[in-house]
Amino acid sequence: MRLSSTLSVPASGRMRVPQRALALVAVAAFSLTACGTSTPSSTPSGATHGPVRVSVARAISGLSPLGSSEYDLQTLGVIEMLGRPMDDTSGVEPNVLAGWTRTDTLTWQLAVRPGVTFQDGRKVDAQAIADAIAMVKANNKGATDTIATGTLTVSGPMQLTLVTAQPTTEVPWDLSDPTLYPVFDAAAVAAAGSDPAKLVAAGIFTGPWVPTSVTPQKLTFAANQHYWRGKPAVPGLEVDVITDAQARVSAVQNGELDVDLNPPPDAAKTLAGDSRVVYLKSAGTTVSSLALFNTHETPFDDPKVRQAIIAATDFSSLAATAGGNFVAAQGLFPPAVPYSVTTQAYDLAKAGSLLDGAGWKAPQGSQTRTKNGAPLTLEYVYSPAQGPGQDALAIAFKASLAKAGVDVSLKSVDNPYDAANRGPGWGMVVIGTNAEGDADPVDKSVGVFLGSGKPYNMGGVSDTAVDAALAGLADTLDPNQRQALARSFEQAVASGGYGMSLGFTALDAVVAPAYKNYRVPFDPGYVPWDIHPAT
Amino acid sequence: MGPATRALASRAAQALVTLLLASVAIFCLLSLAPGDPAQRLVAARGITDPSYAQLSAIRHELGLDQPLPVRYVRWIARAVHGDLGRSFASGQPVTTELGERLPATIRLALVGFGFALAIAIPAALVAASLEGSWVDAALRSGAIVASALPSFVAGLLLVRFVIIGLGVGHVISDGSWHQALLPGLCLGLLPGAQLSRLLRAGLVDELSTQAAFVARARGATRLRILIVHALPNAALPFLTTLGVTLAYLFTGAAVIEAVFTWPGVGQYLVAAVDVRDVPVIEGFTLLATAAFVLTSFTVDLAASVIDPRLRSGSRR
Repeated sequence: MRLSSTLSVPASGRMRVPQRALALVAVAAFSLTACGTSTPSSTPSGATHGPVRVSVARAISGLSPLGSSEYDLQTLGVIEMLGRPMDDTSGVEPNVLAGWTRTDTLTWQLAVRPGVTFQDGRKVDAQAIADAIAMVKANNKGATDTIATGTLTVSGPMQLTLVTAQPTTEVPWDLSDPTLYPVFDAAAVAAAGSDPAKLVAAGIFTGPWVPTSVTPQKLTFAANQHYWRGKPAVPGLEVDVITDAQARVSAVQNGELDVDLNPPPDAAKTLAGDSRVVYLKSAGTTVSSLALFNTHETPFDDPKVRQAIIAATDFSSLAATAGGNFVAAQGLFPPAVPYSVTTQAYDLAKAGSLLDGAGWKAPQGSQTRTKNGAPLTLEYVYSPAQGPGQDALAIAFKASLAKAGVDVSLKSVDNPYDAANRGPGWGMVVIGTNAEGDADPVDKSVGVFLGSGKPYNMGGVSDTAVDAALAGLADTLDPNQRQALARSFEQAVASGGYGMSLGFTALDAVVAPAYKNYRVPFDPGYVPWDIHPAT
Repeated sequence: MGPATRALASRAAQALVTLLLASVAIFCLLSLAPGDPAQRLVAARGITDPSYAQLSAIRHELGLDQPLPVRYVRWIARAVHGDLGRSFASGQPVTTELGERLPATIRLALVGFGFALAIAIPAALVAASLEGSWVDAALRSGAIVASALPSFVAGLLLVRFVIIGLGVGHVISDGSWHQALLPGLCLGLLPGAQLSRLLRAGLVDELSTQAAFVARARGATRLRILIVHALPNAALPFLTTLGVTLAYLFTGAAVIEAVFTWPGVGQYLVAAVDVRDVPVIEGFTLLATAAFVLTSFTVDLAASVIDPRLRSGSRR
């Protein structure tokens, strides 16, 4: 009323608008606006005893196990693999397979688990597994894993024989790698063709969740009552595709989601004290930000310079800056693994001493050390696509090295593996790599970057002790021997100063209070078959 | 052929040339942008360390090993027939994926347009009628704030304080009409504010003309002068901007759609940019350009109907 009476006051040189007309306009505008907030929230915040509702950050294009979404479907538990990471993060274990045995350096016997069926009711046997692997191999030409390059034959109703191209211990990890060989009914997939609706109804998987509808925005699944591990505790799974990280958190806060598997990097800090959600972290850490020196580039061909840079890296500061789920590195491998050795420690005095010894002096009035008039600069190449927090990590590293008189220039690239992306003159490249879990934690995750002749040895490292440790790892499956070799490998890398871990990333999740007991898996985001609310 | 027909044909030809040049620019810029779509694609599939052979196979599969002019000719020839290629990420036809999401975006754009008009017209009428008053100043300040406020900030504030704080509305939108109101309000805020200032300026100009003075002298009420005399004359530049605004609302809602999880083409575009899904980005940008060209052409036609001076093709 105050508005309309004010508007009705005539003023010199102005038009006077009748109160009623303006009031009608105001009421109409207000009513239209008010309509936008008239819909009540359908679900109270907190517990739900219906399907568990989770979100993913990117669209899942369909259910084809040969498409681009298989990785997401595997991480949701919809697609199962032949092996899986062990809960204690120490390695992998059989899953749809009952076991694997190496009978000689090239030959592996793979036993199929009895009692596993596809959701269409068909029994999973050796031939079904072989057919699925053959279909994946045909669709993924150029793959270099041990299964793709080996020869697989059906040697019994529930038995497969794999002959690898070269002696290797990688087979269990390749069988468990979520990007490689999903278990599905190849015949049913072939019959469904490219029709997404037929694929939804075909029951092609073995997992605990049976697809009922798939749209670009939402996937719904019913519990698989005949799942081989047992009957799921919730009636189904609903997956919402929400690209915006903050929107996913808001949906949990508003009771529209139970589990957000991809919270923003600052979630731990911003959600502290928020009773509507619970922030959780995995017990183990999965991703290591592995930093590799270019040993061909001056001055990083000097071990003292490399070791000085490692000593000048403030790992605690890096972890604090990069986000709530970062864990400070003390060596190449996560602190929780049994073969972890402490080889990295922040010691600015040691860094200064090493640089002095290498001839890099700090001139008066300058923050950057020089040698023969040339400044000590390091080009740090990284990719934000390698994981959340990489930008923050890069900035923190630059700040840390500045204290030792090293000028760091940051170069963000699409693919740090690509030499053309890195360009000439790079000093350090940072790779996001699994340091445990579904890839061999030593050879496949770190050794491939540091061994002579290894495919991703970008820094040109050639060290007999490193190579000897990797050769030993490629030869033995004995856990004790492998741990000793892993320690030996790490100590050799530290002696040469070839690289370091800048930090490890724990997986995290934001969940509704009802799911406060949810155990965040250490490998990307499984929705376990027995997930259930606490109340 | 009369002058009006000639003007129309000329304008249509200009629109087609604009669209063709835009298609060249879109294709070249996206093709020359840094980054390798093949690498983005394998990363989207969860493969962080692809082999050279895998990358080469994907580049060949996507046609990225062909010369740029060849790729452009193939692309535009297919686009003319409604085929915008296949999404690198999903493998599905871009036209199909855009088509699935377009209805939700149209709903949101129409609701946003409604809010823009609901904000602009009353605010302009009130501000013009009370020119120089504190009400006019307050509306001007409000328009400036609304224009300066980034849409994602407005969206986050609405989510934080209205949806979560007051417990009304939904964070996860299903694309339906009734859930379009909050994102529509957010979307319509900026164009509403800008249109209100434009219309207010036009109205103030018209109210100070001799025609308005004569009408007042002949006993017309102030409301009649405002609505019957000033508004139609002030509507022409307003209408021109309105057309472009509608195109903006159809194509520029990416951020709003992401914040409100609106299942439209905007959110689809954000996801495509994230994995550098070039066919999707090219297809969307081409459609967006076409929307602007088409609305601009339509507005020109409408303007010539409203203003007889424009029918001959010359503005006096």
